[in-house]
Amino acid sequence: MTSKEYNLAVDEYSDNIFRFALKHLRNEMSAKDIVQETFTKVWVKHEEVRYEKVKSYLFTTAYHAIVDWVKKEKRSGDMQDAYEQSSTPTIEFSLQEVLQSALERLPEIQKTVVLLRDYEGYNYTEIAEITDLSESQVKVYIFRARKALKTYIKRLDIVI
Amino acid sequence: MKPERISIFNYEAFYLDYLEGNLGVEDTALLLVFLEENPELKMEDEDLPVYDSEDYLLTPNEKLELKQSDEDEVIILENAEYFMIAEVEELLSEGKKSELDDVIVGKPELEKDRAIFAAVTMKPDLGIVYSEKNDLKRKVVALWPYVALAAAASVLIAFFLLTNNQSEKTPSFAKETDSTEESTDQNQDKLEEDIVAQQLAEEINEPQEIGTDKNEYHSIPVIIQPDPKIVQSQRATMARLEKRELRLLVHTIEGVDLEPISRALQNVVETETASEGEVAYTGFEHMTDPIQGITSRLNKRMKSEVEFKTAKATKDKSGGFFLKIGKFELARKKRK
Repeated sequence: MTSKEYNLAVDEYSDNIFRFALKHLRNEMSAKDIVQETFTKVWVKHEEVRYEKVKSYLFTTAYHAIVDWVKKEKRSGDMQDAYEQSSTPTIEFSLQEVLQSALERLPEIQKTVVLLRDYEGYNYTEIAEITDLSESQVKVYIFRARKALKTYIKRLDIVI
Repeated sequence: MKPERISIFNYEAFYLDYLEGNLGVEDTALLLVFLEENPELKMEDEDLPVYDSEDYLLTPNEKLELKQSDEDEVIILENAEYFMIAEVEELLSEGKKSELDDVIVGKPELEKDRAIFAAVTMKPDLGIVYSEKNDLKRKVVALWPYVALAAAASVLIAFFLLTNNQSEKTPSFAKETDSTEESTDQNQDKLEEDIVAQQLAEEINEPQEIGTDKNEYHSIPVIIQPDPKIVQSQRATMARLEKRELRLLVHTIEGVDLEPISRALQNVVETETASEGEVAYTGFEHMTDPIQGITSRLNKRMKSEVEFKTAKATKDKSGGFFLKIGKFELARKKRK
């Protein structure tokens, strides 16, 4: 990947990585740090990464950075505070807002696979590569997540 | 030293046997001694796992979740939810979709579940954007302008070397050329300039016959002196000056805006020779640019005028080259 292609990747995918990180971390500053870290790591390897594969490479790098961040924050207890704050009942107006709220309640790995599937349109094979899971594990997590989301929505008795 | 039968590494196995009443009398005694010596390893009642088969029964739904389904199974009420999700995931064939329709039809609760599953796909909020993209980007350094400049300079230097070599091939110049190579001192250059200027000044005061030698270069008009020794001396001096121009050119390329000495001298005599058409800086219109791509790029990149023209000398037209970079101009003219 050339420098020009790398800069193109910044234009193309930095928003996606940012949204992906923000959904996991619920903290804008931390999400920006993840974006910065992800692109820095990709730049270091840019001569080895083909442009056609850069999106997958970016998400893989971002995913691992998020996992590390979550581990670190869980140790320090900040994540729990953030989670509790985000779990505070709020008045939700649209299905997407309710879904966002439901997403926060999913285990991290289920949240990851659903975001990669719905936000980025990755298939099971690609998600498996990014998350170091098997395809069948990815499928199981997605099915569980969908079921949990459905249960959450149904409990609130929202009119679809 | 004989290892102890019960140690920190194996006491758990003895402990479990003891709790289950399966430990022998001798080992029980050893274990109790060991626990006395290591009181921190002693478990209280609340620490002990209690297995009660009644509390550990899975519900049918929990068992169903553990089972592996696939899209080829027959759809029944118990696995209908799996197929609803599979439908959202686009894993179902048209046949299976119809089968699911048949199972669900007339069952409002399942129809509602199906509608919810269809709706619970996350959509990205495109309003969320990363605002610091420019900080992530890397600056691309283009090397070609420097390469092009170096190429142009190389061409120029090659012309100088070529013209100098041709001058040195003339036998009458050979001896003088050798001495010039030995003398690189700037004071010597200055002295030579003074001599030429003085000679030119004398010629202007005492005009004599002005002509041209067709084997000579005409960046500087050649003033024919009746005395052959003076002519030879002048030629040798000019050859040395040309070499000095080459050195000056290198400085110019490095950013110092210098004008070659020959041009300065030429300006002195230009008025005297204009009528004869011997001034070097005229008649380049017929020349062409052999490196047009490079010069046009340099024009754009350097934001100053860059011209390079060259032509071979013919019977009708003079040859040579012409280089212009911004205010800096340099030219050579040659006749056949």
